[in-house]
Amino acid sequence: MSAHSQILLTSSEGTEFLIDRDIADKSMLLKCMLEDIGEIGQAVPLPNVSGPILTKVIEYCTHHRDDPNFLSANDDVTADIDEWDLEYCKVDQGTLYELILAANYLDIKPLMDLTCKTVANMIKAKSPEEIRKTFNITNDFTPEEEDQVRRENGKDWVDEH
Amino acid sequence: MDTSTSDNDTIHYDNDGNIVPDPAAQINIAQNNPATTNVLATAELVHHIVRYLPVSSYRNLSLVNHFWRNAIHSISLTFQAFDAAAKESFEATSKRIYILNAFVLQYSPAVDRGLPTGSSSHQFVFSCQARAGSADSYGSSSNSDGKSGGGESSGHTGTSGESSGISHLQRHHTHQPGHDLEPFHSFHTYQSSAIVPNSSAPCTSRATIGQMLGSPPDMHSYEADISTDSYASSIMVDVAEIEAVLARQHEGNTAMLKRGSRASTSSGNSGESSSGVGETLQGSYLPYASPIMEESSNPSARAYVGRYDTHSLSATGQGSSRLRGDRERALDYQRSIQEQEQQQYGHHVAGSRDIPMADHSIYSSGATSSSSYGPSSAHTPQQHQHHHSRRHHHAESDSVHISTTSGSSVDTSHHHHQQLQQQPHLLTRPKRNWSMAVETFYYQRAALNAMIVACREHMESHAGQGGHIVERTDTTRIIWNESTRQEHIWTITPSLMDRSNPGDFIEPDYDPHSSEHDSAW
Repeated sequence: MSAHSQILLTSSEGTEFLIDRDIADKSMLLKCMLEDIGEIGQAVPLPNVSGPILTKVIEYCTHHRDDPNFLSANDDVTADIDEWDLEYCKVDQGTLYELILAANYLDIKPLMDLTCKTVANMIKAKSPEEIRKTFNITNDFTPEEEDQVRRENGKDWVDEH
Repeated sequence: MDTSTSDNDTIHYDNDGNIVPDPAAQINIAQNNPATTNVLATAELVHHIVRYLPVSSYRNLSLVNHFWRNAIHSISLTFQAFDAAAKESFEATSKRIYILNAFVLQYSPAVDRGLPTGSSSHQFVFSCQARAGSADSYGSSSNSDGKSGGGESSGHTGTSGESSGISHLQRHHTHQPGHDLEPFHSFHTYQSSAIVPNSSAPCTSRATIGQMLGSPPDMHSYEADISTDSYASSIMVDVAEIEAVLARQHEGNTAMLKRGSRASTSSGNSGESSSGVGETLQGSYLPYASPIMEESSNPSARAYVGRYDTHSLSATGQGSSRLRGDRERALDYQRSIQEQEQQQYGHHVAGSRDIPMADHSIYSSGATSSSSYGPSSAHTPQQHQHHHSRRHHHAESDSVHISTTSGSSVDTSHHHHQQLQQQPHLLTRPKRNWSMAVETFYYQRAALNAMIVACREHMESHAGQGGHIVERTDTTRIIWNESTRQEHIWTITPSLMDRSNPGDFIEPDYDPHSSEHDSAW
């Protein structure tokens, strides 16, 4: 198997993407699958990833193809986001959530960390009501339940501020 | 704030990468977006997102809705577990404590004036007790209470003079008829001095047997280290060795027995090195290997003490299984010897008795026994450590009685009777008083420090003058004071008892069918 061999990926719409093997290896799903079954010379179907999202994923993996710390770059939750990654995540929230799902499906941990960290930044310092508005979440607590949760929170957790 | 914006679906960031609140954008985001629903409805993803947030924000996140609350709650459990672990590491919330036990054992002073006394001679006396109904038989004598009862003495033999260097052992037995708890009362008298090997010792010498048995030659346990459950014991004697010895002695039993009687009746007589003196016990007394600590600690270790006052019997707790089967042969042989003695001397000879011994070598002898005793011969048996835990069971007793074997002849009992009459102080029941104290500590090092301090303070005190440390480990300090006959013991034992909840301590349940019952109770 050559280091520069190429892998053919097919998105959910049937769009084919020919990428280098080392880029495909950024995805643990593809890496393990290729190691298990070998290069069969056929396109690898990715039915859970759309063409535009797969393009963004390939873009991310291509950018970090030579990054020696690719798998461990974002282990630190407090680490700052790389400038390129910051620009990379300047997408609409739909695309951001699609990237989260794609990273989760393809098992690309750095991308998963990056996108989740971006979402976390959206949540940071928001009240529950603001969070509901941000993510269009319905409040299913009754007033009594909400009071109880508040009391429990006040007992269990110590405010770090 | 430098904000970059584009269309309505674009997230706005400042230069630090933080999201810039944009109410207009937030209203439009995630509306009917299946990806948003999938992400925020997947606990794993929510968990993954939330872990980038500070814990202080969990309070607000848990108020979003039930799903988020459950997700946050699972995270908070992890957090709380970590928090508890951190507190466990950095705060004094240990679930265990360490017990520092302090024992002070007071050994009786010498009472047997019949023994040769000298500047280096000391006598160690401890009393013994056997349960009622024991198979022992004793001759008639006076007991310590002045009652008529069985009393006998195996006598003793030693080297000539007080400074001869051979330690002495006397065993005295008194019988207290009608005394249910203490039908027999006997005590041993050890006299310490340096060991002088008896060059004329026959093949029955302790060293020979001890070496053949693979026992440490200088390891001594009590002559009769006996618990009150001696009736449940079994013989653990190297019978082959004993039989060989006895066979040789049996060939000339008449002369031998005469010599033995003479030896046993000659208090302080040390010139018998060519006869019965050869069967001397020359063990090294370990002051901390107290019988009270040893008893029942190893029920498999037994020793047999025969009735042959002039013979030296070596027994060991080792190899019990291979020795156990020879018990009957030994008893048969003893009975034959006894019959011969009865025919020859026309009196009853005390029977033999099984005696549970400590888990180390036992060297027993009858009339002629010697035991080195003192600091110079102190050793540190590995078996000692685990015996301390059993001391608590004896805390309520201020006097420890240890049963012993009996062996007599007319000559010896008669002589001893005379000796008792001449030495009324011998009638005083020996005592071994002891006390204990317990301290608890959170950490083992604290207990160790306390033990070190206590040991040091005792050594520096007036009462501790003359004492010397005979054992020094991380969990034990033992000081033996030859002048005061005191043994100070400190031990550290871990306890699983939670100090914050004393009620969590549960006594071990009693199981009469348990195989460990005999040894544990």
